[in-house]
Amino acid sequence: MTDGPKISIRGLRKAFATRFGPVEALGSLDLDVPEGELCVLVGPSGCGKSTLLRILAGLETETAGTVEIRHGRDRKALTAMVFQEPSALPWLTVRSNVAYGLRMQGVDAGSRESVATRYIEKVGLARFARAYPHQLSGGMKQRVSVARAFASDPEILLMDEPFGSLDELTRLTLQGELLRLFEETGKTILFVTHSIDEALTLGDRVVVMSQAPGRILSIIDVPFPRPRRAIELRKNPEYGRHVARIWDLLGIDRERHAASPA
Amino acid sequence: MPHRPPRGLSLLSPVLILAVWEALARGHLIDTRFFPAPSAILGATWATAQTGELWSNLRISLARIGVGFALGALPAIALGILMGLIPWIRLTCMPVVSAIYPIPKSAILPLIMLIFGIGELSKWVFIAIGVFFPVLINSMVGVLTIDRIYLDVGRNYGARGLNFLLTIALPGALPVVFAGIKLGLGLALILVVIAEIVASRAGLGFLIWNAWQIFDVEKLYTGLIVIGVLGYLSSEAIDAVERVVVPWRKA
Repeated sequence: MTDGPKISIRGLRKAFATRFGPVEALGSLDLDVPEGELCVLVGPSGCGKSTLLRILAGLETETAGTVEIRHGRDRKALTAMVFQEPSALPWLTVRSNVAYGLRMQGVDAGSRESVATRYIEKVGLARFARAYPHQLSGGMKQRVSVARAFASDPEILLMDEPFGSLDELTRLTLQGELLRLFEETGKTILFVTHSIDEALTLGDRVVVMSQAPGRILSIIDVPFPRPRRAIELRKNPEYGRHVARIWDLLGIDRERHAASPA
Repeated sequence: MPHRPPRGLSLLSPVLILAVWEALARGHLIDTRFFPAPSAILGATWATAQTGELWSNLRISLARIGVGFALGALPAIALGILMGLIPWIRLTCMPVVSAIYPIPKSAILPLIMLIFGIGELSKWVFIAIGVFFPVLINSMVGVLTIDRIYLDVGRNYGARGLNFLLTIALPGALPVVFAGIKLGLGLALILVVIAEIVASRAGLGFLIWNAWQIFDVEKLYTGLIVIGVLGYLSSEAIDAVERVVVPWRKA
Protein backbone atom coordinates (compact mmCIF):
# COMPACT_ATOMS: atom_id res chain seq x y z
CA MET A 1 0.00 0.00 0.00
CA THR A 2 2.69 2.47 0.95
CA ASP A 3 6.04 3.17 -0.58
CA GLY A 4 8.03 4.75 2.20
CA PRO A 5 7.04 7.08 5.02
CA LYS A 6 4.55 9.92 4.60
CA ILE A 7 6.87 12.41 6.24
CA SER A 8 10.58 11.97 6.05
CA ILE A 9 12.96 14.31 7.86
CA ARG A 10 16.71 13.97 7.36
CA GLY A 11 19.49 15.86 9.13
CA LEU A 12 17.22 18.82 9.75
CA ARG A 13 18.84 21.82 11.42
CA LYS A 14 17.59 25.30 12.03
CA ALA A 15 19.50 28.27 13.40
CA PHE A 16 18.05 31.73 13.94
CA ALA A 17 20.10 34.88 13.58
CA THR A 18 19.84 37.01 16.72
CA ARG A 19 21.65 40.04 18.06
CA PHE A 20 23.89 37.69 20.01
CA GLY A 21 24.77 35.62 16.99
CA PRO A 22 23.15 32.51 15.58
CA VAL A 23 21.07 30.44 17.98
CA GLU A 24 20.48 26.82 17.13
CA ALA A 25 16.85 25.80 17.55
CA LEU A 26 16.99 22.34 16.04
CA GLY A 27 19.92 20.00 16.26
CA SER A 28 20.30 17.44 13.58
CA LEU A 29 16.94 15.72 13.48
CA ASP A 30 15.87 12.54 11.68
CA LEU A 31 12.30 11.28 11.78
CA ASP A 32 9.99 9.19 9.64
CA VAL A 33 6.25 9.27 10.09
CA PRO A 34 4.25 6.55 8.32
CA GLU A 35 0.96 7.35 6.62
CA GLY A 36 -2.04 7.45 8.95
CA GLU A 37 -0.01 7.87 12.13
CA LEU A 38 -0.65 10.40 14.85
CA CYS A 39 2.85 11.25 15.94
CA VAL A 40 3.27 13.46 19.01
CA LEU A 41 6.35 15.52 19.82
CA VAL A 42 6.94 16.39 23.48
CA GLY A 43 9.81 18.31 24.94
CA PRO A 44 10.73 21.33 27.02
CA SER A 45 9.89 24.86 25.92
CA GLY A 46 12.12 26.16 23.20
CA CYS A 47 13.25 22.73 22.07
CA GLY A 48 12.34 23.53 18.48
CA LYS A 49 9.12 21.51 18.23
CA SER A 50 7.18 24.45 16.87
CA THR A 51 10.05 25.36 14.55
CA LEU A 52 9.90 21.87 13.08
CA LEU A 53 6.18 22.27 12.43
CA ARG A 54 6.65 25.70 10.90
CA ILE A 55 9.29 24.32 8.54
CA LEU A 56 6.93 21.56 7.45
CA ALA A 57 4.16 24.16 7.02
CA GLY A 58 6.36 26.23 4.74
CA LEU A 59 6.45 29.15 7.19
CA GLU A 60 10.19 28.83 7.93
CA THR A 61 13.07 27.56 5.87
CA GLU A 62 15.53 24.99 7.18
CA THR A 63 19.20 25.84 7.68
CA ALA A 64 20.30 22.38 6.63
CA GLY A 65 18.82 18.97 5.91
CA THR A 66 15.64 17.99 4.10
CA VAL A 67 11.96 17.51 4.84
CA GLU A 68 9.82 15.56 2.47
CA ILE A 69 6.07 15.06 2.47
CA ARG A 70 5.00 12.33 0.10
CA HIS A 71 2.20 13.34 -2.23
CA GLY A 72 -0.78 11.08 -2.79
CA ARG A 73 -2.13 10.58 -6.29
CA ASP A 74 -4.36 13.67 -6.39
CA ARG A 75 -2.70 17.04 -5.94
CA LYS A 76 -3.84 18.11 -2.51
CA ALA A 77 -2.44 20.86 -0.34
CA LEU A 78 0.62 19.55 1.48
CA THR A 79 -0.15 20.76 4.99
CA ALA A 80 -2.76 22.42 7.13
CA MET A 81 -1.73 23.80 10.48
CA VAL A 82 -3.65 24.33 13.70
CA PHE A 83 -1.89 27.00 15.75
CA GLN A 84 -1.83 27.41 19.50
CA GLU A 85 -3.27 30.91 19.47
CA PRO A 86 -6.73 31.53 18.04
CA SER A 87 -6.25 31.64 14.29
CA ALA A 88 -9.77 31.72 12.88
CA LEU A 89 -9.78 34.71 10.54
CA PRO A 90 -11.84 37.41 12.31
CA TRP A 91 -13.35 38.70 9.05
CA LEU A 92 -14.85 35.37 8.00
CA THR A 93 -17.81 33.53 9.46
CA VAL A 94 -17.27 30.11 10.99
CA ARG A 95 -18.46 28.50 7.76
CA SER A 96 -16.15 30.58 5.55
CA ASN A 97 -13.24 29.96 7.90
CA VAL A 98 -13.71 26.20 7.71
CA ALA A 99 -14.04 26.42 3.91
CA TYR A 100 -10.99 28.71 3.60
CA GLY A 101 -8.41 26.05 2.73
CA LEU A 102 -10.64 24.61 0.02
CA ARG A 103 -11.31 28.10 -1.36
CA MET A 104 -7.56 28.69 -1.68
CA GLN A 105 -7.28 25.36 -3.52
CA GLY A 106 -9.84 26.60 -6.04
CA VAL A 107 -12.64 24.23 -5.01
CA ASP A 108 -15.99 25.57 -6.23
CA ALA A 109 -18.29 27.29 -3.77
CA GLY A 110 -20.92 24.54 -3.72
CA SER A 111 -18.63 21.64 -2.82
CA ARG A 112 -16.57 23.57 -0.30
CA GLU A 113 -19.74 24.71 1.49
CA SER A 114 -20.95 21.15 1.82
CA VAL A 115 -17.58 19.89 3.07
CA ALA A 116 -17.38 22.79 5.52
CA THR A 117 -20.88 22.10 6.78
CA ARG A 118 -19.96 18.47 7.41
CA TYR A 119 -16.90 19.36 9.50
CA ILE A 120 -18.73 22.13 11.34
CA GLU A 121 -21.24 19.50 12.41
CA LYS A 122 -18.47 17.10 13.43
CA VAL A 123 -17.03 19.65 15.85
CA GLY A 124 -20.48 20.62 17.14
CA LEU A 125 -20.63 24.17 15.81
CA ALA A 126 -23.66 23.81 13.50
CA ARG A 127 -25.56 26.49 15.39
CA PHE A 128 -22.67 28.92 14.97
CA ALA A 129 -21.97 28.46 11.27
CA ARG A 130 -22.87 32.08 10.54
CA ALA A 131 -21.21 33.56 13.63
CA TYR A 132 -17.94 35.50 13.55
CA PRO A 133 -14.99 34.29 15.66
CA HIS A 134 -15.24 37.14 18.17
CA GLN A 135 -18.64 35.79 19.15
CA LEU A 136 -17.13 32.40 20.12
CA SER A 137 -15.38 31.10 23.23
CA GLY A 138 -11.72 30.04 23.15
CA GLY A 139 -12.59 26.37 22.84
CA MET A 140 -15.01 27.05 19.99
CA LYS A 141 -12.38 29.08 18.13
CA GLN A 142 -9.98 26.13 18.34
CA ARG A 143 -12.74 23.85 17.05
CA VAL A 144 -13.02 26.15 14.03
CA SER A 145 -9.27 25.84 13.41
CA VAL A 146 -9.36 22.05 13.77
CA ALA A 147 -12.38 21.80 11.45
CA ARG A 148 -10.66 24.08 8.91
CA ALA A 149 -7.54 21.90 8.92
CA PHE A 150 -9.48 18.66 8.40
CA ALA A 151 -11.85 20.19 5.84
CA SER A 152 -8.98 21.34 3.63
CA ASP A 153 -7.95 17.67 3.41
CA PRO A 154 -4.18 18.12 3.15
CA GLU A 155 -1.58 15.37 2.89
CA ILE A 156 -0.63 15.92 6.54
CA LEU A 157 -2.02 17.88 9.49
CA LEU A 158 0.23 19.89 11.75
CA MET A 159 -0.95 20.77 15.25
CA ASP A 160 1.13 23.14 17.33
CA GLU A 161 -0.15 22.84 20.91
CA PRO A 162 -3.67 23.48 19.67
CA PHE A 163 -5.23 22.92 23.08
CA GLY A 164 -2.42 24.46 25.11
CA SER A 165 -4.26 27.59 26.16
CA LEU A 166 -7.58 25.93 26.99
CA ASP A 167 -8.88 24.97 30.41
CA GLU A 168 -8.58 21.31 31.42
CA LEU A 169 -12.22 20.45 30.80
CA THR A 170 -12.35 21.99 27.34
CA ARG A 171 -9.03 20.41 26.50
CA LEU A 172 -10.29 16.91 27.35
CA THR A 173 -13.39 17.45 25.23
CA LEU A 174 -11.36 18.66 22.26
CA GLN A 175 -8.91 15.77 22.63
CA GLY A 176 -11.91 13.45 22.42
CA GLU A 177 -13.15 15.20 19.29
CA LEU A 178 -9.72 15.06 17.70
CA LEU A 179 -9.43 11.33 18.47
CA ARG A 180 -12.77 10.75 16.76
CA LEU A 181 -11.81 12.83 13.70
CA PHE A 182 -8.43 11.12 13.44
CA GLU A 183 -9.90 7.65 13.79
CA GLU A 184 -12.56 8.47 11.17
CA THR A 185 -10.32 10.09 8.58
CA GLY A 186 -7.02 8.25 9.06
CA LYS A 187 -5.05 11.43 8.34
CA THR A 188 -1.34 11.65 9.12
CA ILE A 189 -0.90 14.07 12.01
CA LEU A 190 2.16 15.61 13.60
CA PHE A 191 1.13 16.99 16.97
CA VAL A 192 3.24 19.13 19.31
CA THR A 193 2.44 19.41 23.01
CA HIS A 194 3.90 20.18 26.42
CA SER A 195 1.54 17.77 28.08
CA ILE A 196 2.63 14.17 28.60
CA ASP A 197 -0.98 13.21 29.28
CA GLU A 198 -2.04 14.70 25.99
CA ALA A 199 0.79 12.93 24.16
CA LEU A 200 -0.19 9.51 25.53
CA THR A 201 -3.89 10.09 25.03
CA LEU A 202 -3.57 10.99 21.37
CA GLY A 203 -0.39 9.52 19.96
CA ASP A 204 0.52 6.30 18.19
CA ARG A 205 4.12 7.23 18.95
CA VAL A 206 5.57 9.85 21.26
CA VAL A 207 8.80 11.49 20.19
CA VAL A 208 10.61 12.85 23.25
CA MET A 209 12.88 15.78 22.45
CA SER A 210 15.79 17.34 24.30
CA GLN A 211 16.27 20.96 25.23
CA ALA A 212 17.49 23.33 22.51
CA PRO A 213 18.97 22.61 20.12
CA GLY A 214 16.24 20.00 19.86
CA ARG A 215 17.24 16.44 19.17
CA ILE A 216 15.30 13.21 19.58
CA LEU A 217 15.96 11.53 22.93
CA SER A 218 13.66 8.59 22.46
CA ILE A 219 10.62 7.42 20.54
CA ILE A 220 7.98 5.58 22.53
CA ASP A 221 5.35 3.34 20.98
CA VAL A 222 2.02 3.90 22.68
CA PRO A 223 0.37 0.50 23.01
CA PHE A 224 -3.22 1.57 23.77
CA PRO A 225 -5.72 0.28 21.21
CA ARG A 226 -8.07 2.55 19.30
CA PRO A 227 -10.74 3.81 19.45
CA ARG A 228 -9.51 5.46 22.64
CA ARG A 229 -11.37 7.26 25.38
CA ALA A 230 -9.28 9.82 27.23
CA ILE A 231 -10.75 9.08 30.66
CA GLU A 232 -10.61 5.29 30.29
CA LEU A 233 -6.92 5.47 29.39
CA ARG A 234 -6.08 7.18 32.67
CA LYS A 235 -7.33 4.08 34.58
CA ASN A 236 -4.95 1.73 32.75
CA PRO A 237 -1.91 0.84 34.91
CA GLU A 238 0.24 0.86 31.76
CA TYR A 239 -0.64 4.53 31.42
CA GLY A 240 1.08 5.57 34.64
CA ARG A 241 4.20 3.59 33.70
CA HIS A 242 4.43 5.41 30.38
CA VAL A 243 3.97 8.81 32.02
CA ALA A 244 6.77 8.01 34.45
CA ARG A 245 9.04 6.83 31.64
CA ILE A 246 8.63 10.03 29.67
CA TRP A 247 9.25 12.10 32.79
CA ASP A 248 12.41 10.10 33.33
CA LEU A 249 13.58 10.76 29.81
CA LEU A 250 13.00 14.49 30.15
CA GLY A 251 14.50 14.55 33.66
CA ILE A 252 17.65 12.65 32.73
CA ASP A 253 18.24 15.14 30.00
CA ARG A 254 17.90 18.03 32.47
CA GLU A 255 20.40 16.43 34.90
CA ARG A 256 22.94 15.82 32.22
CA HIS A 257 22.72 19.45 31.19
CA ALA A 258 23.10 20.58 34.78
CA ALA A 259 26.11 18.33 35.28
CA SER A 260 27.94 19.44 32.18
CA PRO A 261 30.44 22.25 32.78
CA ALA A 262 29.25 25.61 31.55
CA MET B 1 -27.16 48.89 40.72
CA PRO B 2 -25.92 52.17 39.26
CA HIS B 3 -28.55 54.60 38.01
CA ARG B 4 -28.87 54.83 34.24
CA PRO B 5 -28.63 58.50 33.28
CA PRO B 6 -31.84 59.66 31.53
CA ARG B 7 -31.66 59.43 27.74
CA GLY B 8 -32.22 63.12 27.01
CA LEU B 9 -29.24 64.24 29.08
CA SER B 10 -26.96 64.86 26.12
CA LEU B 11 -29.49 67.35 24.77
CA LEU B 12 -29.55 69.35 27.97
CA SER B 13 -26.40 71.44 27.56
CA PRO B 14 -27.01 72.58 23.96
CA VAL B 15 -30.62 73.44 24.72
CA LEU B 16 -29.54 75.39 27.79
CA ILE B 17 -26.88 77.33 25.88
CA LEU B 18 -29.35 78.21 23.10
CA ALA B 19 -31.95 79.33 25.61
CA VAL B 20 -29.48 81.61 27.43
CA TRP B 21 -28.21 82.94 24.10
CA GLU B 22 -31.77 83.69 22.94
CA ALA B 23 -32.59 85.47 26.20
CA LEU B 24 -29.40 87.54 26.12
CA ALA B 25 -29.98 88.53 22.49
CA ARG B 26 -33.60 89.53 23.11
CA GLY B 27 -32.61 91.54 26.14
CA HIS B 28 -29.89 93.20 24.03
CA LEU B 29 -27.34 92.18 26.62
CA ILE B 30 -25.08 90.94 23.81
CA ASP B 31 -24.32 92.66 20.53
CA THR B 32 -26.80 91.12 18.10
CA ARG B 33 -24.75 92.36 15.16
CA PHE B 34 -22.25 89.62 16.04
CA PHE B 35 -24.47 87.25 17.95
CA PRO B 36 -27.95 87.33 16.43
CA ALA B 37 -30.62 85.40 18.35
CA PRO B 38 -30.83 81.69 17.50
CA SER B 39 -34.41 82.25 16.37
CA ALA B 40 -33.18 84.90 13.91
CA ILE B 41 -30.49 82.53 12.58
CA LEU B 42 -33.12 79.82 12.17
CA GLY B 43 -35.30 82.27 10.27
CA ALA B 44 -32.42 83.22 7.98
CA THR B 45 -31.60 79.56 7.41
CA TRP B 46 -35.22 78.90 6.49
CA ALA B 47 -35.23 81.80 4.08
CA THR B 48 -31.98 80.66 2.43
CA ALA B 49 -33.47 77.22 2.05
CA GLN B 50 -36.69 78.65 0.60
CA THR B 51 -34.93 80.59 -2.13
CA GLY B 52 -32.89 77.52 -3.08
CA GLU B 53 -29.65 79.37 -2.41
CA LEU B 54 -28.74 76.95 0.37
CA TRP B 55 -29.44 73.82 -1.65
CA SER B 56 -27.58 74.87 -4.78
CA ASN B 57 -24.50 75.78 -2.76
CA LEU B 58 -24.75 72.62 -0.69
CA ARG B 59 -25.07 70.50 -3.81
CA ILE B 60 -21.99 72.07 -5.36
CA SER B 61 -19.89 71.55 -2.22
CA LEU B 62 -21.08 67.95 -1.87
CA ALA B 63 -20.14 67.20 -5.48
CA ARG B 64 -16.66 68.64 -4.94
CA ILE B 65 -16.21 66.62 -1.74
CA GLY B 66 -17.49 63.48 -3.45
CA VAL B 67 -15.25 63.67 -6.49
CA GLY B 68 -12.20 64.90 -4.58
CA PHE B 69 -12.63 62.28 -1.88
CA ALA B 70 -12.93 59.43 -4.38
CA LEU B 71 -9.93 60.71 -6.36
CA GLY B 72 -7.84 60.80 -3.19
CA ALA B 73 -9.06 57.83 -1.18
CA LEU B 74 -9.18 55.08 -3.80
CA PRO B 75 -5.56 55.31 -4.98
CA ALA B 76 -4.51 55.87 -1.37
CA ILE B 77 -6.10 52.59 -0.24
CA ALA B 78 -4.51 50.68 -3.12
CA LEU B 79 -1.03 52.16 -2.69
CA GLY B 80 -1.21 52.06 1.11
CA ILE B 81 -2.00 48.35 1.15
CA LEU B 82 0.81 47.63 -1.32
CA MET B 83 3.18 49.68 0.85
CA GLY B 84 2.12 47.61 3.84
CA LEU B 85 2.63 44.33 2.01
CA ILE B 86 5.78 44.93 -0.01
CA PRO B 87 8.83 46.33 1.80
CA TRP B 88 10.57 47.78 -1.27
CA ILE B 89 7.48 49.77 -2.28
CA ARG B 90 7.22 51.05 1.30
CA LEU B 91 10.89 52.02 1.42
CA THR B 92 10.67 53.74 -1.95
CA CYS B 93 7.54 55.76 -1.25
CA MET B 94 7.93 56.58 2.44
CA PRO B 95 10.50 59.44 2.13
CA VAL B 96 8.29 61.23 -0.40
CA VAL B 97 5.21 60.74 1.75
CA SER B 98 7.00 61.94 4.89
CA ALA B 99 8.21 65.04 3.05
CA ILE B 100 4.87 66.09 1.54
CA TYR B 101 2.48 65.00 4.29
CA PRO B 102 3.37 67.69 6.89
CA ILE B 103 2.95 70.62 4.46
CA PRO B 104 -0.31 72.39 5.35
CA LYS B 105 -2.66 71.66 2.47
CA SER B 106 -3.82 75.27 2.36
CA ALA B 107 -0.24 76.23 1.48
CA ILE B 108 -0.44 74.08 -1.65
CA LEU B 109 -3.64 75.71 -2.91
CA PRO B 110 -1.95 78.57 -4.86
CA LEU B 111 0.25 76.08 -6.66
CA ILE B 112 -2.71 73.88 -7.46
CA MET B 113 -4.65 76.82 -8.87
CA LEU B 114 -1.64 77.77 -10.92
CA ILE B 115 -1.43 74.30 -12.43
CA PHE B 116 -5.10 73.32 -12.67
CA GLY B 117 -6.80 76.70 -13.02
CA ILE B 118 -9.55 78.00 -10.78
CA GLY B 119 -12.30 75.70 -12.05
CA GLU B 120 -13.68 72.47 -10.58
CA LEU B 121 -10.56 70.48 -11.38
CA SER B 122 -8.38 72.44 -8.96
CA LYS B 123 -10.94 71.90 -6.17
CA TRP B 124 -11.00 68.16 -6.81
CA VAL B 125 -7.23 67.94 -6.85
CA PHE B 126 -6.93 70.05 -3.70
CA ILE B 127 -9.37 67.87 -1.76
CA ALA B 128 -7.89 64.68 -3.22
CA ILE B 129 -4.39 65.58 -2.02
CA GLY B 130 -5.69 66.32 1.45
CA VAL B 131 -7.62 63.04 1.65
CA PHE B 132 -4.84 60.99 0.07
CA PHE B 133 -2.29 61.13 2.90
CA PRO B 134 -4.27 60.10 5.99
CA VAL B 135 -5.96 57.31 4.01
CA LEU B 136 -2.61 56.16 2.58
CA ILE B 137 -0.84 56.08 5.92
CA ASN B 138 -3.72 54.35 7.70
CA SER B 139 -4.01 51.74 4.96
CA MET B 140 -0.31 50.98 5.23
CA VAL B 141 -0.41 50.83 9.02
CA GLY B 142 -3.55 48.69 8.77
CA VAL B 143 -1.63 46.04 6.85
CA LEU B 144 1.48 46.32 9.02
CA THR B 145 -0.52 45.78 12.21
CA ILE B 146 -2.38 42.68 11.04
CA ASP B 147 -1.73 39.99 13.61
CA ARG B 148 1.08 37.78 12.29
CA ILE B 149 -0.92 34.65 12.93
CA TYR B 150 -3.40 35.58 10.16
CA LEU B 151 -0.56 36.07 7.69
CA ASP B 152 0.69 32.60 8.68
CA VAL B 153 -2.79 31.14 8.17
CA GLY B 154 -2.97 32.69 4.69
CA ARG B 155 0.44 31.41 3.70
CA ASN B 156 -0.09 27.95 5.18
CA TYR B 157 -3.40 27.53 3.35
CA GLY B 158 -1.82 28.59 0.07
CA ALA B 159 -3.11 32.16 -0.35
CA ARG B 160 -0.81 33.83 -2.89
CA GLY B 161 -0.83 37.11 -4.80
CA LEU B 162 -4.30 38.48 -5.38
CA ASN B 163 -5.85 35.79 -3.15
CA PHE B 164 -3.65 36.89 -0.28
CA LEU B 165 -4.50 40.53 -0.92
CA LEU B 166 -8.24 39.95 -1.02
CA THR B 167 -8.64 37.37 1.75
CA ILE B 168 -5.96 38.45 4.25
CA ALA B 169 -4.39 41.88 3.68
CA LEU B 170 -7.43 43.93 2.70
CA PRO B 171 -9.93 42.60 5.26
CA GLY B 172 -7.23 42.56 7.93
CA ALA B 173 -6.42 46.21 7.30
CA LEU B 174 -10.01 47.39 6.85
CA PRO B 175 -10.74 48.58 10.42
CA VAL B 176 -7.69 50.88 10.33
CA VAL B 177 -8.43 51.91 6.72
CA PHE B 178 -11.80 53.13 7.97
CA ALA B 179 -10.13 55.25 10.63
CA GLY B 180 -8.16 56.86 7.79
CA ILE B 181 -11.32 57.38 5.73
CA LYS B 182 -12.94 59.19 8.66
CA LEU B 183 -9.93 61.48 9.03
CA GLY B 184 -9.88 62.04 5.28
CA LEU B 185 -13.55 62.96 5.10
CA GLY B 186 -13.16 65.47 7.93
CA LEU B 187 -10.25 67.00 6.06
CA ALA B 188 -12.23 67.11 2.81
CA LEU B 189 -14.87 69.24 4.53
CA ILE B 190 -12.24 71.72 5.73
CA LEU B 191 -10.53 71.89 2.36
CA VAL B 192 -13.68 72.39 0.31
CA VAL B 193 -14.54 75.44 2.42
CA ILE B 194 -11.01 76.85 2.07
CA ALA B 195 -11.04 76.35 -1.69
CA GLU B 196 -14.46 77.97 -2.03
CA ILE B 197 -13.52 80.96 0.09
CA VAL B 198 -10.39 81.55 -1.94
CA ALA B 199 -11.65 80.98 -5.44
CA SER B 200 -15.26 80.18 -6.11
CA ARG B 201 -18.59 81.81 -6.89
CA ALA B 202 -20.54 78.92 -5.38
CA GLY B 203 -20.52 76.40 -2.55
CA LEU B 204 -20.82 76.60 1.23
CA GLY B 205 -17.46 78.35 1.57
CA PHE B 206 -18.62 80.99 -0.89
CA LEU B 207 -21.93 81.32 0.99
CA ILE B 208 -20.03 82.12 4.19
CA TRP B 209 -17.51 84.44 2.53
CA ASN B 210 -20.23 86.23 0.61
CA ALA B 211 -22.28 86.67 3.79
CA TRP B 212 -19.25 88.25 5.44
CA GLN B 213 -18.70 90.58 2.51
CA ILE B 214 -22.28 91.85 2.57
CA PHE B 215 -22.36 91.71 6.39
CA ASP B 216 -25.28 89.27 6.47
CA VAL B 217 -24.36 87.77 9.85
CA GLU B 218 -27.40 85.49 10.08
CA LYS B 219 -26.52 83.87 6.75
CA LEU B 220 -22.94 83.51 7.92
CA TYR B 221 -24.22 81.47 10.86
CA THR B 222 -26.40 79.48 8.48
CA GLY B 223 -23.27 78.42 6.60
CA LEU B 224 -21.61 77.35 9.83
CA ILE B 225 -24.63 75.35 10.95
CA VAL B 226 -24.94 73.56 7.63
CA ILE B 227 -21.26 72.64 7.66
CA GLY B 228 -21.56 71.37 11.22
CA VAL B 229 -24.56 69.22 10.35
CA LEU B 230 -22.78 67.98 7.22
CA GLY B 231 -19.76 66.93 9.28
CA TYR B 232 -21.96 65.10 11.75
CA LEU B 233 -23.99 63.32 9.07
CA SER B 234 -20.94 62.28 7.05
CA SER B 235 -19.33 60.74 10.10
CA GLU B 236 -22.58 58.89 10.88
CA ALA B 237 -22.75 57.72 7.27
CA ILE B 238 -19.19 56.36 7.41
CA ASP B 239 -20.03 54.54 10.64
CA ALA B 240 -23.05 52.98 8.96
CA VAL B 241 -20.98 51.87 5.96
CA GLU B 242 -18.36 50.48 8.34
CA ARG B 243 -20.96 48.40 10.16
CA VAL B 244 -21.93 46.79 6.86
CA VAL B 245 -18.42 46.36 5.41
CA VAL B 246 -16.68 45.36 8.66
CA PRO B 247 -19.32 43.23 10.37
CA TRP B 248 -16.74 41.30 12.39
CA ARG B 249 -15.75 44.37 14.34
CA LYS B 250 -16.79 44.20 17.97
CA ALA B 251 -19.62 46.67 18.56
